[in-house]
Amino acid sequence: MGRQMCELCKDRRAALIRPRNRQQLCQQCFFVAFENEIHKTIVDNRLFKPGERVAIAASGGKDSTVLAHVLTELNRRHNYGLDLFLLSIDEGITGYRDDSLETVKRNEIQYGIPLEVLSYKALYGWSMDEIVREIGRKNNCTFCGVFRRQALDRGAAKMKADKMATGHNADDIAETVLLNIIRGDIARLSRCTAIITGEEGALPRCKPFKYSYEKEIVLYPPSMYYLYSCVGTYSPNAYRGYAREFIKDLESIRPRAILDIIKSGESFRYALTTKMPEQGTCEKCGYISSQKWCKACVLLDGLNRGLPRLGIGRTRGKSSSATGIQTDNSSSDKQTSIRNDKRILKPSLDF
Amino acid sequence: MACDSATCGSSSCGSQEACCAPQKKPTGSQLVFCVKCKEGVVARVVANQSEPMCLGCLHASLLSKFKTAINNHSLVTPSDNVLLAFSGGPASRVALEFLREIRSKAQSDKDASRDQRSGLTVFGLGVVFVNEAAVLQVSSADAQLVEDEISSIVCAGSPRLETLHIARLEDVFKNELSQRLRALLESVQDMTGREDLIEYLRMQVLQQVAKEHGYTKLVLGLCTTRIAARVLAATAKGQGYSLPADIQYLDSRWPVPVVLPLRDCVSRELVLHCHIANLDTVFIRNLSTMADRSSSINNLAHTFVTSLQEENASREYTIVRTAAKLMPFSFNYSECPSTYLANRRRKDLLATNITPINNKEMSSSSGSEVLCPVCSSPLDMLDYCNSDTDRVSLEENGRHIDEEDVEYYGGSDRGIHSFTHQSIAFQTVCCASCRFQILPNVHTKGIQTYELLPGSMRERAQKQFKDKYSWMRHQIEDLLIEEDGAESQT
Repeated sequence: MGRQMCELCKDRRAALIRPRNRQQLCQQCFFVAFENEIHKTIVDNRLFKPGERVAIAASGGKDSTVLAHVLTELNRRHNYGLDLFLLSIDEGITGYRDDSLETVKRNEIQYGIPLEVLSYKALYGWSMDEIVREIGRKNNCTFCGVFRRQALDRGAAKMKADKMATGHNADDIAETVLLNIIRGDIARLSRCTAIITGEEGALPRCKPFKYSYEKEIVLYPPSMYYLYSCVGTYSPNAYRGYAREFIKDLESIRPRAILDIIKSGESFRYALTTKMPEQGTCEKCGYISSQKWCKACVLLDGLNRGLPRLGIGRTRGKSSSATGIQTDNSSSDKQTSIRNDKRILKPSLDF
Repeated sequence: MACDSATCGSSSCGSQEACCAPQKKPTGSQLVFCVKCKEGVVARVVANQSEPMCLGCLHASLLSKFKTAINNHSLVTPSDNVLLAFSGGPASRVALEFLREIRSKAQSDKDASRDQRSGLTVFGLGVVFVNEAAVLQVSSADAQLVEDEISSIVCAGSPRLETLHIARLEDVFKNELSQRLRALLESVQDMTGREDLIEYLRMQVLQQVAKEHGYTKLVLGLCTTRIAARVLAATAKGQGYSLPADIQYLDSRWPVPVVLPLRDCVSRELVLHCHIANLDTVFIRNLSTMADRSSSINNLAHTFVTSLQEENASREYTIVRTAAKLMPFSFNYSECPSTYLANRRRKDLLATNITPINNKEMSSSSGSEVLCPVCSSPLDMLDYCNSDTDRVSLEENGRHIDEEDVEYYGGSDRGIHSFTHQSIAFQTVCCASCRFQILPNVHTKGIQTYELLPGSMRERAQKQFKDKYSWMRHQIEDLLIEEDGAESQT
């Protein structure tokens, strides 16, 4: 039996099977289809306006590299009129972040868009390596995730961006939906499928890859990107791993299940009596928060006072005013005073 | 879960109910005492989270959950005639036991009350078993054996108080042999779709039996574990809109309303209870027995929930609690929400999953949900109105349409006379999930599946199709110019 021809152009030989719908396509047709779908997502959901200054959250990983490439290309091809730049965060994880930062620097050259790098150390006074040394390996994902989110927002604000684009793909969002169902986080569940978040705030973020499969992003190889994800280094116990495995199995049974999960998440209607936390601002730094202090301030306070478990797990009684929580942590007697002198941390942020 | 019970001959039975033997009693000198009763009774099992309990306390805790569910939501009232769907598994066995218990208590209360008020009745109880042997092409002798075994379980012990009805899945087609059932199931390529179709057909049979013999409520033994798996599976199938409909205590979309009194019990404690109270159960093979965990979405979801539960015992409750925060449908509330609210103290309400709604909202959604003819799930009106036989929506479902066919599908004025049209029209009134997983590509076997579906489903679809088009026509009536040239008033 002869080699299959591409189902779309019927001209070239088929080189791959599309994960999304198992179509057999040649490389060119796949690239075109992939890019057109992203363009359609951007247009249908009105993600950008002409003249906007857009920060591309770049980690050096496959999603952000491909995002940088596709956005640059579509910006040029369809005249979006966007002012793009790369924004990268250095968490201070030796061996991982150094290499991925190299990738981002390469991207800066390849796509001709400027790069801005911000480090946890400069922003918070703690690198991830130092944090893990302090708190161990169980809850470090919480720290990293919370800090990164703020770091990206601060970096974008500093660079006067109007909007941020992140590389979250369909698999990510489907995992988040499942994770929130499993953990019972109804507030996050109601927000996690939105393609644009934070519209009411200073810096809206959008996800152009919301309907793009992770496998397709991997199949679209415009350049070398840093393949290793954080999962090996610090997060063997992260809960997201469970959901990820389930999704992988689902994909092998029925590829469209990933998009179906997102569709389900979008169609959930919440009972009126469900209590959702209100969104206010942090007393300490002014960042968006549903409690008195934002999570980053709570965590940071804990680190600085040698109470690494502050802010982890549920709080009982009144909502978390960090000063009100008494924990008797055995590591707190270690050089607390010295630590307080070194880290003068009061993250200030003008929004 | 590995099963070391003697009745299961394999290392992994993959049954929907965990039929495994419970943990062994602590050996040696560590006698563990029941945490609930203070008398220092030796604990037999570790149910639920990690509390060792004795038989009496486990029984009491399960029964109290059962009674609370029934009382708070009026699932069973004294004037009801209740039909229990019995599968032979631990959950429905416990449901049978508990229904008998509360019934006999009500009966003895009635006998004890001397005034013989005419209002004091006891609810009626019947049991039904649906034999799905035809699905696996089991010989009729073996099918009979299964029925005999069920009979012996249900009718064991002293006075037979309930009627036992035995039905077969092929009864959904009136007066036809099991060939049609086999052909229908074979025509569904998708494994998940096939399993789901069996479930929908089973519900049809249950409703048939219930209606025929005058029952007013249908009890299912759905427990927290299976509901959690169902929540995840439904999310994965894109059924996020209709998901809340299937997981509430009460579901009155059906002619005979369906109630789930075991909704707050996890399968593990039900299995343990059956084991230590010596309640007989029987394991019956079904389509997913011994199947690979990745054979269907339902199987995968069930395995996943089991593995989550091993890591954290209260995971099933969390999943169901999250899903319970989604807005239920009008048919999930009992008939008169206002009197219902008046009769309950506010404290009770907050403890239940029923959200108090105001009358304004109720009247706008008064029982007029449009349901899919196959799975009876409520349709999302946005999806529904756009699901016409146009090229875009059919292509979305992976069908490739040729130019000639676009002309052929036509519009509403073609009516639904021609046969091919009927099957196309049918698809437009089904939910997206059924369209994808049960009704296959229109070019190959779509007509065949449509033909083989039970008449009741097709009739519902026809009525809905007519309703949909007359609704759409009604929207534009004012804008149509009459043939004799007279314009309608604006």
